[in-house]
Amino acid sequence: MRRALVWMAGLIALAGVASAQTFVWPQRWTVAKPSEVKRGGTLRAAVTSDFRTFNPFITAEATNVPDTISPYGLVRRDPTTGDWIPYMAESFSISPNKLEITFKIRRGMKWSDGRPITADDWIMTWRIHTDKAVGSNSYDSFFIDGKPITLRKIDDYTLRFTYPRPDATAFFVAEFTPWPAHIFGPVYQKEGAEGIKKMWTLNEKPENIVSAGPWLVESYRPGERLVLKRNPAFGEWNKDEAGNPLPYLDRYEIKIVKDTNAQLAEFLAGNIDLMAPSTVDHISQIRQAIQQGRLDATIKVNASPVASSQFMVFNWNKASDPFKQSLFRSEKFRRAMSHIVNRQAVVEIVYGGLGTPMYSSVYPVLTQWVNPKVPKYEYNPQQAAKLLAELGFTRKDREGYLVDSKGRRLEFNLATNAGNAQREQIAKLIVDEAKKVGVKVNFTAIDFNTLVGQLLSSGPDRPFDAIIIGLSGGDLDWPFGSNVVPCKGNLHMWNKSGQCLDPRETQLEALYSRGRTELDFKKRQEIGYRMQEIEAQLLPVIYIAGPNYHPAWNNRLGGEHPDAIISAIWGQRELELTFIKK
Amino acid sequence: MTAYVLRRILYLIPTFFGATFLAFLIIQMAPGDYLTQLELDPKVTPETIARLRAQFGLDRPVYEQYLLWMNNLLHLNLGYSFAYQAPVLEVIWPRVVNSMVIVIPSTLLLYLVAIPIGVYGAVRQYSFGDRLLSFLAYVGLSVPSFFLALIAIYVLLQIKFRTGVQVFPVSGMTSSGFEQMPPLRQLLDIAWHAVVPILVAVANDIAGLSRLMRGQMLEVLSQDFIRTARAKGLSERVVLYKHAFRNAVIPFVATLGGLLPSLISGAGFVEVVMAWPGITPFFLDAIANQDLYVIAGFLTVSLVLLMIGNLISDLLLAWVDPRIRYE
Amino acid sequence: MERAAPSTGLALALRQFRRHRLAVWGGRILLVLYLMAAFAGFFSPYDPNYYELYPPKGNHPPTRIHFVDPETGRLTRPFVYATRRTIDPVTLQPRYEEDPSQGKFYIRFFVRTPDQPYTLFKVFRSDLRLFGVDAPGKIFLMGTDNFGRDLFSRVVYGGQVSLTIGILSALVSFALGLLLGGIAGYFSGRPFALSLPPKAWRGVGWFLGPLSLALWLGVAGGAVFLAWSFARLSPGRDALSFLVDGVVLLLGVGAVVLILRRVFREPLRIDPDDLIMRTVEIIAAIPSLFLLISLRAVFPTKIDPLFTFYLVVGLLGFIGWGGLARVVRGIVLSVREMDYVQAARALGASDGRIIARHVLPATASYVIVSLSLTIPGFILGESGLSFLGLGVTEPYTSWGLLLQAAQQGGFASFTDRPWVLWPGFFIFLAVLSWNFLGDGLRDALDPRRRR
Repeated sequence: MRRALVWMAGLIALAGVASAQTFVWPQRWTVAKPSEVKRGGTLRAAVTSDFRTFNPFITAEATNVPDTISPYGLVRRDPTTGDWIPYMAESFSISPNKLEITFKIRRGMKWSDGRPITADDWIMTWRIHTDKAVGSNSYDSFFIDGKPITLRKIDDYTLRFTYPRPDATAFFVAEFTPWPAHIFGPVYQKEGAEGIKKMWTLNEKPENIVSAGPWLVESYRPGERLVLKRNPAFGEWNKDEAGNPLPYLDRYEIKIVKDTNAQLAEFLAGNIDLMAPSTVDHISQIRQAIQQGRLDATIKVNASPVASSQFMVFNWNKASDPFKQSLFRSEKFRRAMSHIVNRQAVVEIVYGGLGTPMYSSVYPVLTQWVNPKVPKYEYNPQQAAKLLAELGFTRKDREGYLVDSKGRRLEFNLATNAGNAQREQIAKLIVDEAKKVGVKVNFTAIDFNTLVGQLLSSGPDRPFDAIIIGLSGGDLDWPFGSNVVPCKGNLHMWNKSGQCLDPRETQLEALYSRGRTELDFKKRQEIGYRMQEIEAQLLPVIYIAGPNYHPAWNNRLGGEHPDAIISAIWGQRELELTFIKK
Repeated sequence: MTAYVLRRILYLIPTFFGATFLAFLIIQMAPGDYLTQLELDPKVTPETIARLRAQFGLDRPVYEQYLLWMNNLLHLNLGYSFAYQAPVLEVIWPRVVNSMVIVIPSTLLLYLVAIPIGVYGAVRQYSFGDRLLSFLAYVGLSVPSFFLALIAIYVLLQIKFRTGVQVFPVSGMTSSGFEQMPPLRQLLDIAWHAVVPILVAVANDIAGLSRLMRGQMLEVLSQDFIRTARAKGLSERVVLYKHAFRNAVIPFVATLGGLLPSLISGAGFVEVVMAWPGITPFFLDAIANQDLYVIAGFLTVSLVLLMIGNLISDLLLAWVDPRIRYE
Repeated sequence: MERAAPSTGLALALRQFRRHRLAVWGGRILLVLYLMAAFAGFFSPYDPNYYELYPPKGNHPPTRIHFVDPETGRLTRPFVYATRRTIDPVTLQPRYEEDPSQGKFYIRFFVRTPDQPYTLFKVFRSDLRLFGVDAPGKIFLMGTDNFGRDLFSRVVYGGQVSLTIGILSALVSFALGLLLGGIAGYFSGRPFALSLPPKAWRGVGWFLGPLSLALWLGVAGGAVFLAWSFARLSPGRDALSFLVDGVVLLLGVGAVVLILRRVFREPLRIDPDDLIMRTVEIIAAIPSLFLLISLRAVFPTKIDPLFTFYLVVGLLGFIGWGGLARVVRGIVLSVREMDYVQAARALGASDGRIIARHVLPATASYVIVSLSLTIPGFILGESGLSFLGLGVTEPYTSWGLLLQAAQQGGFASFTDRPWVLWPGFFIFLAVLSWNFLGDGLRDALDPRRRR
């Protein structure tokens, strides 16, 4: 009897395969036609830091195994438009009050161990992520202002997300990757969070790692190499336009190479296929090797700016030094400081000419969000001197620094994290330009953790004057940081008194919440533009410049993105559509 | 002698506690902790960070953290890595083994090369050979290992460009497709990858050891008993090796204890630059992340090995030099 | 034992030293290097942090010095041409071509640069420089870095850090290592009292006795507290855990009983060899990279970062004496049993005299060679710290930092701008010179090697 049941279950599963609803990967995502494609082969890449776990619930690194083997969820973005399209969901519908999204899950999808992927998998994954005791890094993404987003299973193939309020980034939440409930569920029920934390460490046997995505772990050698192999179950419902199962590749090898020079050497020697050189020196080596015929590869120089910001922030909370406090709170002073930042020289010297100046909190790569009409306070020492004179700094002392009528010298300390040569050089440029205007800047490079400690300290008196630092993690749906803009935000770095000090901070805070709840893209964009205008007036931080993204690949690979969508956001290719030419 | 050994073993206890506590204290003195880097993530709230901090026990007073860790240690458990969420030993061990692939051959090579060079330099002092060898040794000494490794990579790459042949691999420990090789091929593959890192690791230290050896040998050769031995008509070979060499190596015996912990301490920057999956890059990452128990656990193992090594080398010292007495 | 009287000893040593040609050359080169570092402002044509943004001069190759006038084909005073910058279409790196249209710029000696004054020894202000050319011509003997700062000037200034960084630290660690290693070896097996029982309190004992008693009571109290906290915090509830807790409690209580029993009855005696060598082991457990990070964080950022760096590296010397102490102890253990030392002791020489006259000289050979390896070792160590991002920072510079910048450039430092390897040459020169000097000194100071 029991055997018969199993047999029947097998039959049903087979029936599922037959009627699997496939997701067809659009032709426009790649330059290659399905007819050119060859199957098989190994893609070889390198990463700079080692992997730490196979466990999706405790992983915390930027490049981690779970996100590599299974990066997708119910929805994904179309790189050609940036729109959310249903992926593991077959369709979705939004309720009239905009608080509920109902997803119809694609039928016939299977885990790599053959079990069907159903609503339960999402529910279990969400439960575990939101269990405080697990300590998942994704915990906060399931809350809006501390209020939870809830998931409900309608039936095996229908899921409903309920949001505490309309949210522009709703799909971003729904994008999370499901993990197998039949693996994690029993452990979670029996042993709770502690049981989950002990699962899928790097010592786990690779065949026990179950994936919904394109890859399976074949082997891992600590500190050395991760080898992934194609997940056949993925190919059953992911096809190209000709109906070929994806991915084309058999294997995906990721070598761990900490030193970028060694990475470059491997790329030049043809031992790895993908690279994103970050300095003009590395680009120069690749281009010379290509030109001299030693390497058959392609490099796209200046494909886009990178998706991160870099800025100088002044501390508004210096109760112990009222002179500096009033200075740093003065908008004229900050504007003058923006005028002494020679962004062109930063790009020229620090990034070897291959960088992009920045003027607002929106990363330059998010082109549809950048307000082109925002005033830019460009490098202009005369203007800086004029603004400082308006603040009363008209005389210079014996050493050539500006002093006010009471003889107080215009001087502040500037810090950045030690060991970051590029930031140290930016600081040097600022120090030298400030000196020309008559501002004394004392630069120190300090340990990263100390720097963060100072930057994120709160209260009326904080221990720094000015810091150069960067942020990343902005989003296409709403590029403003939930921790940055609100005055109580943890990363509201310029003012951590816990309340807004400038009326424009209050304004920004209000606009931020309005934008986050506005679901119409055009209107949201309007709000974003308005926020950038206010930011430009207020200059809470002074944006500097950042490097560019220069992807390179060995020409044995085919299937890269069309030029128009190669960028720091979309990368150079979809690995599923990548194939080995020879 | 037995009393001495017993006393030494008894002293291991307070030394162990003192050293581990000091090390723990200094690690904790460094600013920030494992979670500091997470604080700059715009998506993570301070409450989450505070909760994680409590989960990791990082909010307790230092002495309590130390005692809890000590408790684990006494259960022969080095603790848990924050970053890997796995037992420290489990994470460290494969890397230590990888490092040993470089460290053991390079240490052997170092002694095999440096001691003869030193002896030769002393016996043929100021000869052309002495000058040439010391000059070469100094070249090795004065190029920092991270730079030497870069030069090595560059040379290998140029050879590949010029001839199309990969004489030695540019980096890493195994070739692509390693898992599919038969065991003997795997062994050869690792050996092939290890050659250049071993040479780079040795180059830096030859000068130091050979210069010290040369100095000691010269010192001994000038002593009266050597003159006496020669006067007795003993052959030069016997004088050199039986009398002089044996006396000259005595100071090095005292440093042999240090070799035991260096077995696990990795081959240094060459591992970083040549992408050797050893303990050095791992440990540097752990320091950058402040992965507390990885660092503390690793230091503890080194410490235990050092204490044992010192004990052994003190006993060896008494053995090679019968004049030494311990009361 | 000594053959020469001290008055002629120095002269003899000097004569012996002069015979060692390489040592003499090492000394001369070091003299030049140190003089250049000391009078860096005078020897460098530009301020090490001076650069121009318009026109940029980043990654400029060494300026070619012409001795022949191309128009007449005859020898002339050395001169340079100004250069024009273009961007190479392949490498995207700047390229510089000579631009004779701006005329010749003759090299002049003892020039004044009022726009770039410098101070000597932080006191004397001056703007006199050994050589230079008139603006807008530029003379870069060793090219420039990515800012367009003159690399030669930076090397000269970098020497200030690199050539001095190790000396303080090496001296501290050698002094401690010699002293403590010597004591440990010489007094091994002769324990000394670390406490006074109450019945022995008299004289100074009235002060030291209670003090030692309080100290030991404190130690005992600490042991009890830690053992108790250990048991209190212990999370395990199984048999093994209780066993471990029990053992720890027993150890704590045992230590206390032992201390209390002995402290009141008789002096606690400890062999100095054990005390010092166990201390060496404890110190060896200190993670020096961490200590470096921690110490640097302790100093307020107001203090000059270079000063902090010196202080921290100096402190490293303070904990770095362990290895040497072990070696010295080994040598001393062996030497103290030698006939001539035993003879001196039999003749009634004091310990101090025996150590100073007989024991320490036996370690001289090892110590001098080791010292001549250690000081350059710090030059290299500093470059390692720079590699880790823990070295000196802008606006200061050092050879290690310059070499690390070359490392960061990767292969471009070999192919596109090999001149950035100059700092490596200076490191090599300094290391070599120190070692040859050490060799010569060793030979010269060794009375038995005089020929």
